Amino acid sequence: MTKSEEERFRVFVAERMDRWRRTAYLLSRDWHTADDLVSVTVGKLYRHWRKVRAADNPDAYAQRVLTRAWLDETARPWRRERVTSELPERAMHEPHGFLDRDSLNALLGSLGPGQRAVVVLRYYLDYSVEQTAEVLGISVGTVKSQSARGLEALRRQAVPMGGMS
Amino acid sequence: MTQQLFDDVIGEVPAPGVDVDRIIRRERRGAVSRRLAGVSTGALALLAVGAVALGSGALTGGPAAPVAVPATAAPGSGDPVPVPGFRLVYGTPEEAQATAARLADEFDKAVLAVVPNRVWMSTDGAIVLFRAKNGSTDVAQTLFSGGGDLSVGQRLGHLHLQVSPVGVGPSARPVETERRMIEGELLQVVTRVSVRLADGRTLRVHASNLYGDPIPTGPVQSEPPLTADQLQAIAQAVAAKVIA
Repeated sequence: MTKSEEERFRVFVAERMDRWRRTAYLLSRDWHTADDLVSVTVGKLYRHWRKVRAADNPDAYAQRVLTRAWLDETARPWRRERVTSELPERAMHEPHGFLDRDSLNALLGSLGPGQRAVVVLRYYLDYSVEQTAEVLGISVGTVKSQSARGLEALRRQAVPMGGMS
Repeated sequence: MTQQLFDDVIGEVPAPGVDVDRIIRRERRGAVSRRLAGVSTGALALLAVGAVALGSGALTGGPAAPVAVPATAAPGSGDPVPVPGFRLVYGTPEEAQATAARLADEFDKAVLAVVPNRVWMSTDGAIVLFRAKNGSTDVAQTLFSGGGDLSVGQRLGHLHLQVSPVGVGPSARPVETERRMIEGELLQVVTRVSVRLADGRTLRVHASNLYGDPIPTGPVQSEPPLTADQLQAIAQAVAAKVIA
């Protein structure tokens, strides 16, 4: 990598560092792990910098790398997500008004890694269903169902914790 | 659900623990090492295959034992001849880096010995990253972890190695296969093998039928690119190099 490219890389990283760390924290709920995930991401982006630069949406590319790093981390034998197909697809309903900070934090922790990733991408980063599907490498239908499951889990947890509007 | 609510969950953001300068320096060194390694890949492959052919016949042997103990004597020799091994030390960043590099080297040698036609799909080759214990209760504690996408003939997938601390993880089943279904559609098949290392830690190797780094791609075949027996041979070969 030339010096000028490296400088571009540094600027790219610096401009996004705060957002990446915040996102990684929401995914992992641990700052050490978040920084570890971001470090892995920065290294991979450096290695693939030409691809990043050539990508239609470098931010989405970087988000793919970060999210993949998180999902890889969770794909451990004792920490893997249990994916089921038991819940039917439902229309999504925004759970406005019944969550505060502490309950949202606890409820995010109750979601599986994939559901949490979908919720964070959709509702924190404000990605569309299509963008979320692209970042996670899954189908639009899966994003919708995972969103529904995630929100359903939030809703189920929220009822005993404080009631639902 | 507003973005502000998520920011409230995040709370006060601590000072960054990400050292970009250091990552760039590491990546530069890694790029140089990989270029150098690429020159000698052919020779290494021959050596690895030859060593296995002359060795214990791990490729064609029966099921691997769950506990791997490094060999200490050469067959037919009089006095025990220590087999070169290494300890999984990570007390300092330098030690951790050196151990990770050795682990990566042994991993790739073992893979080459079992599937000489393997091709790492990343232009950078397989990287074993060091992860420090962080005490998190949310994410599994992993001492060393790494791998990459690869092809074995017409089969594509992901191959991964990890070392966990003593006491982390379930009582290991030596081999397990997980089939993940979403919406009734087969999405991912992962085969995992685990062996206990001489130092009491656990080494796991898993292969998945998904590939795509950094962009995951759907399965191209119904099974991972390596069989459970092949994964066991790889895990055993790496484990045999680790001393207590």
